[in-house]
Amino acid sequence: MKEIIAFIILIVLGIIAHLFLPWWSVAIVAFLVGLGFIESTSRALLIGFLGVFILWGAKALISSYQNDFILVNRMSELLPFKNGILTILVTAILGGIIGMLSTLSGYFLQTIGNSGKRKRFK
Amino acid sequence: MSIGGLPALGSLLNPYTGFYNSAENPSDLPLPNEVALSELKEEANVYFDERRIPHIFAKNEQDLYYLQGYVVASLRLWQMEFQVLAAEGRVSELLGNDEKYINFDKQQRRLGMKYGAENKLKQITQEADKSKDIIEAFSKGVNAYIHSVKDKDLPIEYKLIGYKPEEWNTYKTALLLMNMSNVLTSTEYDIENTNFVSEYGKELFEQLYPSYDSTIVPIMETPKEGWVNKLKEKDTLQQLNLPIAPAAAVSNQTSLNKLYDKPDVQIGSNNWAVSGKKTKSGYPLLANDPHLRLTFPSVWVEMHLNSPGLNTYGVVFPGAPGIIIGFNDYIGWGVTNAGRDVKDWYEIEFKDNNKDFYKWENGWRETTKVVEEIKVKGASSVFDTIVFTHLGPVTYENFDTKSGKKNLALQWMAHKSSNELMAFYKLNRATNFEDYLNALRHYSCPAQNFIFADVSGDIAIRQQGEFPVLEKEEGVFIQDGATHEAWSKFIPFDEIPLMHNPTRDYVSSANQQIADTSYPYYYNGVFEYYRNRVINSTLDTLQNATVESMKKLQFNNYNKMAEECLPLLMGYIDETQLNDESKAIFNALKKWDYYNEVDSKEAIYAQLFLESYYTNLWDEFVEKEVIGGWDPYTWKDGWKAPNEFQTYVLLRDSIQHQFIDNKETTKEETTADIVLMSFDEMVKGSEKLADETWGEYKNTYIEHLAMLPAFSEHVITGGNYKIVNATGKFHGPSWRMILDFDKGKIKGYGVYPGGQSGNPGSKYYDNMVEEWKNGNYHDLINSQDESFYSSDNYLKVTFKTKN
Repeated sequence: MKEIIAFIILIVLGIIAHLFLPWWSVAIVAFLVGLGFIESTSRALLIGFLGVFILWGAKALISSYQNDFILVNRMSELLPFKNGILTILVTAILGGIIGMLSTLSGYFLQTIGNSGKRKRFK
Repeated sequence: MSIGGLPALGSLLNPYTGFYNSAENPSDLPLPNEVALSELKEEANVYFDERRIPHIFAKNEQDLYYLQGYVVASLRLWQMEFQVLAAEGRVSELLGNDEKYINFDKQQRRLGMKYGAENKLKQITQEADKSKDIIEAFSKGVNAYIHSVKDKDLPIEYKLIGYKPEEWNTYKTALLLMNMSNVLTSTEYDIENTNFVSEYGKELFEQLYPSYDSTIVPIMETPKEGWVNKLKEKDTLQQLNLPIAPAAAVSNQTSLNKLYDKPDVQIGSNNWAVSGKKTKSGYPLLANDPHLRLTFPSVWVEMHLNSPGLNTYGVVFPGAPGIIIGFNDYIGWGVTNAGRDVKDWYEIEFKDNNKDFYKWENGWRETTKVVEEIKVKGASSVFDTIVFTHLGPVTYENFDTKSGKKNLALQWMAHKSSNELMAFYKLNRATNFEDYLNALRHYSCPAQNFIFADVSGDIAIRQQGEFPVLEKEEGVFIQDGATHEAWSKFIPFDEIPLMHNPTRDYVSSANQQIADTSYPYYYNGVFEYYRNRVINSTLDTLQNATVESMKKLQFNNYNKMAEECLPLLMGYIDETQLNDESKAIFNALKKWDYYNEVDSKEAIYAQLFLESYYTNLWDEFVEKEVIGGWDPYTWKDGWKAPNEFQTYVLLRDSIQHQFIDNKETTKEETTADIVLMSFDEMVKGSEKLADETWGEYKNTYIEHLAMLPAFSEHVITGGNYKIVNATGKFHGPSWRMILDFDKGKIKGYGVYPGGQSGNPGSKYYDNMVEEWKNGNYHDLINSQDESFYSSDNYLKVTFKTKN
């Protein structure tokens, strides 16, 4: 249950951050989620990765679909990714990695801050 | 902020502010439905049609040009700015510390691009006419867009290169006009000619490099009474001291060094207008297709401008106000390049290394110096001091030559002040022949052949530009800077040829010579020999012409050069000596109809054969490249081989000269040897191309301005250089326009190889390429009636005033 809440918070705050703040603010969101809502390293990895993976992948896919994939196909020639779908996948993975590293950083800071009292949010 | 070491990739790939943001939904407008602008005087509407052509309806002139600036910027902001930065010599600032970029920037500055733009701007803003208001309103409009656009919505090139747009200003528009001048006045070979004469002598030069051919029908028909009498009747013929000895003694061999990069030589254009006597409707037809380098974003933006007293449609340069080629409710006009040499070089001798003084007659004259700072991305600035003489900037400094270090100053018509914008302002509003002539009075450089037709049935052509009065051969070779004053006398307006309703019932130009040898003023340049004859012979016999006949002529793929050269070359070949494969090609060529259609095989053979013969014959001047490669006519630096037409004349008249021998062989070749050698090379070369058609072999390429292949396109289509459908490898008809004056109402048809949007993420980036490739056209809608645009086919953007 906790994981689902953490995941939803990451998605909702992530969307809001992307609307009003620079793109990298999603890393701060992920970091805060890691700091406040995560209970283990594996969950930090999973939730951080999946949250931003979906946040970026879905947006990249939707905007490319609406564009008939014109731009993403052109960009995939410019970037070292063979086709448009792969470019979207790389985009999502890149987002996932950024999310994962940030959530993990937040979680580690939480464990340092809470040494001894890890069940604080129980 | 660096996250996981991926800052650049993150800002590019993130789908919220990165490149995905440029993925345009085809049904979306690039602008909101309502835009409020503080400098707009009255509410105005812009209607975008299904090809994204803006129809701008403003209630006053200021607003019109203000909105033109805003709308053009919304479509082509990156292109506008990039072209201007390149013109000014600021590429290193964007692209970084690379010798190639720094040398390019130095070259642009030493050519005096900034100097010329400043001179033009001075005249535009000082003259007590409208041009100052127009250019300022336009500039404000561009800035209004720049201020309103969010970083995340900037054109994708800004995100890739990593910079932001600067404010636009009137100086930038002037630079853009300089850029066009540079492209269109590149036809001068003073250094190359000087080299030739010092190595091989004047006699051979005159034989191999005549300035034009008397068998070519010039643009202007010779008046019955001859040019001198005709001009005398009209005006006092100025200072005609003909004939005169060559202006400058040719100095020692000047250069075997790298010359500055000249703009492409394959530019050109066609235009013609036929009178009602030759058309089905009884009213004129007009056609124009300017041949330029094919680029993305496209050279032109199509537009319709309407304000009280003005209703004009056509194409514009992104970055300059007004319509450049187009029509209104009364007249239509188009242009081709004049090809005249208005760029002269002078040898300068400095007193000492300080370069404060240079030799002038028996003493010294003072120079002025300008220090140019070339900013370099990621490195410290490079400084370059440009020395100015009374003739112009010293472009080549301490230029390494056989006879020592030399300095060459450039005098160029584009450096002089002028106000071309006013010419277009008035053309956009012209209602008859007199208005057209009055508009052209403002136009100086680059010289163009302005074609004209109007609803009353008049047709006309005039070569418009400012031309210095030259002595014979002045400007053909490098001249002595110590004895030449700057140009001070110019050919008077009334003594520049003009043709109005000629008896042959048509006017046309395709960059050929302007007039026959009886025209009293001396001129030189680079002129065309093939397209003009195909056009004129078609128009000569034309009857009951319609828009379709005009379309057919613009898309005509007849290869006049092949028609003239191939039979001559093949006459040297003994058919019985050929093997089966060669014989098959030989016979195919014999039967060929000389049309470079897209699926032709013979066009490949002809191209390879002629290229091969040309490079084998002129091997002294040409960097020979592998046969089958495109464009083997790369001249050795500082040299230029005779043109293809002259090559044909020498062959036709069996003129013997020392260059027939091929330097790479030990044998002394005859013409027959060279022909056979070339034929064999062609056969070998075509083996590799067995599966290709002409269109595939030529493989026309529309290249993105930043040379990114991902944003560029290959197009398989017919035609070629020197063919009316001048679609070559990198150049071609950048805009095809046909105007029908049926019943005194102008109807336009047009197409260009690209799309209105500069965004590679938009459907409208390249949506017109397919139609252009197939020779199809769009209707050009210029209805005055605003309610016409209220249908669903048009997307309306309302511009409101903001307090």
